Amino acid sequence: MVWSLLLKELKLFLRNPQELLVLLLMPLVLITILGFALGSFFNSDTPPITGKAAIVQYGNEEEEMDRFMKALGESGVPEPAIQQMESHIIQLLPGRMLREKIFGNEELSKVITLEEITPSDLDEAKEKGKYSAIIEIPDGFTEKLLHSLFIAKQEIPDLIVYENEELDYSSSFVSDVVEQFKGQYSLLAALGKEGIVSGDKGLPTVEVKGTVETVTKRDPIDAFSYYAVGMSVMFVLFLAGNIGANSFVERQQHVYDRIRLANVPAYVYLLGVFLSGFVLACLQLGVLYGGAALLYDVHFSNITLFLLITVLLSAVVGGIGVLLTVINNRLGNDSASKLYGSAGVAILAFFGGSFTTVGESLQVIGNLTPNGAAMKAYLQVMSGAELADISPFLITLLIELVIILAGSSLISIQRAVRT
Amino acid sequence: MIGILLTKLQLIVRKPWPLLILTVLCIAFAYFMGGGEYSKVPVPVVSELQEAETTDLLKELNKSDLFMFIVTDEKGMRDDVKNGSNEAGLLLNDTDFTIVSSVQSSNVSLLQRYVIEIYNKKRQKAELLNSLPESQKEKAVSIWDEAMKESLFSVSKASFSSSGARIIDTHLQSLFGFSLFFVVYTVSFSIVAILEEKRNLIWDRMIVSPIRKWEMYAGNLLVSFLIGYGQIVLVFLTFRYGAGVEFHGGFGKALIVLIPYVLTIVAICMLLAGITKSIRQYNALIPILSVVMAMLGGAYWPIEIVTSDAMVFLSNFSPILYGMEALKGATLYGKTLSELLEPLSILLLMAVIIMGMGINAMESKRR
Repeated sequence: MVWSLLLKELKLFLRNPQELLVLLLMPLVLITILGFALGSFFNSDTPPITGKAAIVQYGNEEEEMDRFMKALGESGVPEPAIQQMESHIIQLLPGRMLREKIFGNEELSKVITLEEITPSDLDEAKEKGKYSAIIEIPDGFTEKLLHSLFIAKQEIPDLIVYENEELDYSSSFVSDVVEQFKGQYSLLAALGKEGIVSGDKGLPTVEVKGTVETVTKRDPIDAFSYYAVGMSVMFVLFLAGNIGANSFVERQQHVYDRIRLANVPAYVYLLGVFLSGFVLACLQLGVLYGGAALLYDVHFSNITLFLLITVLLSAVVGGIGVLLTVINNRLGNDSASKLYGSAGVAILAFFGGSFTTVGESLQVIGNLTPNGAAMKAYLQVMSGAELADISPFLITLLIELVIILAGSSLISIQRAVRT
Repeated sequence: MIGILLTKLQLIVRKPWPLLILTVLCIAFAYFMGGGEYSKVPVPVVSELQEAETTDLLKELNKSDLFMFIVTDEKGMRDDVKNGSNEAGLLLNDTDFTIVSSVQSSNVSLLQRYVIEIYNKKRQKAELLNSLPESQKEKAVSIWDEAMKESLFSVSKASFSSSGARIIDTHLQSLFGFSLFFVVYTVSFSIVAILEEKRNLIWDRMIVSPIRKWEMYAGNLLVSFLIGYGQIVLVFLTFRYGAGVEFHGGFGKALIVLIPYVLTIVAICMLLAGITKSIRQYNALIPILSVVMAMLGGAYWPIEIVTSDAMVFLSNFSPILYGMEALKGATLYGKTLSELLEPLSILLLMAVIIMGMGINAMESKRR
């Protein structure tokens, strides 16, 4: 009998192409969107964000330098010393350094390209919002800077960075670069003045790259793998909602009554609901992971563990289907499966980390959701984990299955007593 | 029309739960996601350096606003990363470092960049001291420390649109994002009632009654709009007066720019109701459409992090993109309503076109 119920459910699904489209095609589309959209965020080789910055210089750096040199002569510094300093000072012109040394740096210019604009273009540039940030060197900045460095400390000149508020990340990045420049400049100038480093040689350059290694010495999980898992565990949850809605339709159309008239006990019907949810979930996950493997080369190293997680998750999905069925029956409408299918799944998916990794505190809740636990387990199997590593997640799934099934039978028994 | 309005409101009063649950969920989400970003990410650290050097380096590292570094032993660190309780661990040695992670996430790249910066400084200082004769070393160190403390010039920050500095506020991003996202569900719940009325033949009975066709549509759409708009207003009020979230003087403007957004959502739900063949199909499409629109429109994360050109192009079709732009513009960027005319008019245009298509589809389906 259970077999015929199962067969009925499978046929119903096959005859409903729109539903199949939603359950199978949609996640694959979303994997594609998310994989491409957030791919660079997962990949440390390419910078996550690129942008354009502009520099605008009021006044003229060379003229300001000439004026400073004159002032230096008037302050009583002998001529030969001034001549000697000149070559050092040329290296210290802040605008030139920013343009040539800082933003001209090969690594940085891959991320941020610097363009020079004239003061009259400043307002228009701000209006258009093309640049992530605009660096303004005010009139007299260079002169004041050199003056306080070589003659006497006076008021500290101010460099202005206009940040484009619509480009949060890249504008902060440019600001950080300028802040670092501030530190490096002060350092270089101070050391250069004391003759510890020479102006044209500058500070020693070092290049620390840092390595990123994965715990199991395998490639880190890329965006496509992450979202293949995230979307699969999310869309398998939709299946439970569909199962619940389907069985409510059966009740509305008195199919359920007819089944009961054929001397099928209520628990056998529910068992049929559970099994069909289970089998369909297994099939759905199989198709989704198969598709992801073919399209985006997403694969698991340990097939046995993969199957184990899949079976457990599918059982939980079947259980949720049963739970929704009995709640729907109890309430006499389909609001339970409707609410679950629209908002419930989205929330579970969010906490489970299907869209993006959630913060530390929410992670605890996320790991308790069936999809979150399964997702963690899948990801760990992907990076080569063993059974012992993922057992906490499997146990979570098992406990949830038991709770859901016990809850559903409790609700359905109460129903039986009442009528 | 008034009759329809009253009926619908009566129905909501009788069954307020779905609406209330959605509103509470929206508030909870916006609250947790907005607050969650402030906590620092803990990073276990294993050091192969001398103890004094480790302490210095750790002090420098812990200046971060984003990460919190804690010394531990190597096995503990690897286990923590492996079982997922930490996103990444850090191995420090003299000249370089290694990040141990299980998932390549945005935090890992940020961590790498951050540690590179600190190591560069450390190495630079070491190289410089190495190149100097013994006699100059002490002087160099004191100059170094002096220059680090007191710089020759200051950097002041301003924003593009106003003279003040850029406002950094992660609360508002998640508040706006989730409000705009959840209202899609609320509106879709109320539009699905039309489909249910059709199925139960109430719609036919209304057609034969003296009520005009436009009144039927206007009544239903108005109710959907009011419910959706009311929900967002309620959420915003809760945050403003309940949680004390600062709207940067744009609260009134924010409420105004929401109007075309909610209208667009009503229109989209109407179109979906018009083209789907059954209520189940409609119910299945809504969550997918809303999630796609939210992802492309930057409700979950700032749209800036999306770099793929194709995705940036697609995001132009998501009303949430314009909704976020208008809301952020009204509050964070301090723009005036006339400066926000662009996103607002795009939303209105979308609403009008889609609504036309939707009602058309709805009417032609009846044959």
